[in-house]
Amino acid sequence: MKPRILVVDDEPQILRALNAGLRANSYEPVLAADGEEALTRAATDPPNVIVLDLQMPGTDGLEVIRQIREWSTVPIIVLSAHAEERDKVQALDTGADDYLTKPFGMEELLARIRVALRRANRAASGDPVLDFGRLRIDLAARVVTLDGEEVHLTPTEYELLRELATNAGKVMTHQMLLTRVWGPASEGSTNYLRVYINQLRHKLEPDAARPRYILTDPGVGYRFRPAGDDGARS
Amino acid sequence: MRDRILAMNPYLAALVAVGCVTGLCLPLRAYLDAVDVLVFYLIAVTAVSLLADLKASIAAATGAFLAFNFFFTAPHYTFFVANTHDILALVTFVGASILISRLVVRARSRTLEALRHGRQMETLYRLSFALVQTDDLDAMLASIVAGVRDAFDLSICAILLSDDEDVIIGATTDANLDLTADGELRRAVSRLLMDQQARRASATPFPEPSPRNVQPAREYAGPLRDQHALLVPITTATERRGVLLAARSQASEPFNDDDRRLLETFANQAALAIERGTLAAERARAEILSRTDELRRALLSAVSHDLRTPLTSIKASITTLMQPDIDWDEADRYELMAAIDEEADRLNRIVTNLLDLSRIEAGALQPVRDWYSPEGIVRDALERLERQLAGREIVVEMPERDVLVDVDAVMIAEVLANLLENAAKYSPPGTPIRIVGRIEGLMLAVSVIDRGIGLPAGEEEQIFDMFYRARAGGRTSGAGMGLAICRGFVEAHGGTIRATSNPNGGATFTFTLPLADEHAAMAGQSTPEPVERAL
Repeated sequence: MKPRILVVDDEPQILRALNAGLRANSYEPVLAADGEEALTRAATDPPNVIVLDLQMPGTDGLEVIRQIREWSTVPIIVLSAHAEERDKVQALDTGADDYLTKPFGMEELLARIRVALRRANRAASGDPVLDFGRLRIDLAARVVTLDGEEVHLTPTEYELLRELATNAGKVMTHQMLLTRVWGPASEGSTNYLRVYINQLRHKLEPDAARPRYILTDPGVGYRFRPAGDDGARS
Repeated sequence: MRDRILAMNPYLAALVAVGCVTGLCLPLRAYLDAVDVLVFYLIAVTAVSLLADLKASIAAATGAFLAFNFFFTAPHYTFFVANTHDILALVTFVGASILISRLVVRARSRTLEALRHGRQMETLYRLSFALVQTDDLDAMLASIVAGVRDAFDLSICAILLSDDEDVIIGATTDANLDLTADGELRRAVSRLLMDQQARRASATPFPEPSPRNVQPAREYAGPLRDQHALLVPITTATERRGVLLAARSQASEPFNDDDRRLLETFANQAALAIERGTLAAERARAEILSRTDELRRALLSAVSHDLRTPLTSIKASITTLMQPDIDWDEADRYELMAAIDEEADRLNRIVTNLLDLSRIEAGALQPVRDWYSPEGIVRDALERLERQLAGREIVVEMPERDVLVDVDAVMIAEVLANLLENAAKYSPPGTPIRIVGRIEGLMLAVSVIDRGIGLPAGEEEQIFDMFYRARAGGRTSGAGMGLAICRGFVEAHGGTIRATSNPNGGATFTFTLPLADEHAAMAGQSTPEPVERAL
């Protein structure tokens, strides 16, 4: 069965282009021109992935994320016309999984959709061992191995790695990581986070300066590159 | 009036008073006692002292003394006094005259002083109110100098301000007198302004009196010669901002200490006014800056959104087409190509709009006018919008009488195209759009009427603002540039544009264009070009 992609944008031209592009790549696009329509379509034909424009009149993208997250964990990829960090971060904190800044290439959107679909499937499988090729994380035993060798991590480092790896492919904002690893009351700064990310990279990455597992989204957060991802990014 | 005549010649008053008494008493000399006559003279002297100053009173007393001596003491018509009784009377008379004169003069000058003081206080009071009424510095300074002139009976009152290194006139009661042309005055003012150290500076006379026994190097010959002139520094909390110049004619009283104190009070009022005016000006500047900033933000957001949207469609379409290993069916392929083509047009339109807007903003709009038939312009606009208007009925109604409009056809076609595009965007597909032309005086009013969602109530004016987007409902694509351009173009032709919601749904946009002045042309008056030149 073709994966169903709900595309929400108030610009008919963009809907038109994405519709043709997605159909050509064996997806089943469902189109919605505003937030209200998006919520209706998401409820009647549950999609596998939602591609959502943030800036829309009426019910805007953020509101759509909020309402969908009340009953569904379907991956949401946000499209933002602004290069402004604030919008992106807010969307991610509200529950979006990934973002793309307009204008984007079709290849890039397809790659993000593939990652989102894979993540959704894996979450459903419930396998306690995360396998990223050279890097394996056994969530049940709390053991991390690199090329078969066990890597010693402090409890905080492990928690941070677990958050990133279980959400592989998804952008984790600074705020999300700080709240989940250090607790909701934490008032840690992004600098704090940066220090731990650096330590993790030194222990896990073959070349800490050019990380292949833990990627930085400047100003937004970090994302764990999932297995098999070619890392196509502009 | 009376005061002025007396002020001009107080001695004349003394002479008249003494003459009157002498003339009245002389025929009655036989019946009057010498002391009676002296009493009459005393009344005359008192009257003079009431009306004129002390000098005139003493002059009157002296005159009376001489007249009495000459006419009324034996032997008559000589200054010789035979009777010792008369001598005593004369001496008593002179003493009493002087005493009474001094008392009367002092009392009168006190009264005058009190009156003047009262007037000055009232001026100060009125000024303080007037100064609260306005933020405009020029207006405040003007009311100060006018008030001070009236309160002190000045010949001229002015406020001189420092402007960088120079001295400028902030306000003056005599615009014909260019005080800054007076080098000596300018130097004196500069000296006072430069002297920022002196916290509390008091009024200084101008020209500054040279030290005793030293002849001034050069006699002052500026416009303030023969005047009592004072320079009163105007000092705000932080710095000395200017000088209040007060001058009155040499014929009147010089400034006394009370005057100086009061003038300093007025100078303080001026300082407050200047401070407030400066603040207001700064506030206005900040407001303009923030408005400019707002506009810039709106522009950035508009450009970021509206340029990126077509770019996004184009890029998504092209990268889709570029994907290898896809079997395109002809319809999908055409769809993507058409999207690219349309979006490229849209980009081009946005760039044109931005350029137009910047020309409007810069006031650099130069309509290239000629005479055109409105039908031709409408046709032109409709052709350009063929795609957007596909499937719609377009009704065009023009005046029965053939008219020509005196316009830049490219600009006006652009206006019409923008309005038509707007109508198409905000009304359901398939509903008709009407274009109606009517003659209104010397103008042709063109209306574009749709059956769409109409305008948000109360925003009929704002929609013409740059980067404005209707807040309520509906699609808001387009950068809010189209209507601003329409207004700019129409106004460059001396026309107006307005928008109204129709009572039964939809919106009407109406703009006016100047009609070609055919009659004048045919009479060969305003333009030599023949009518046939028109399109």
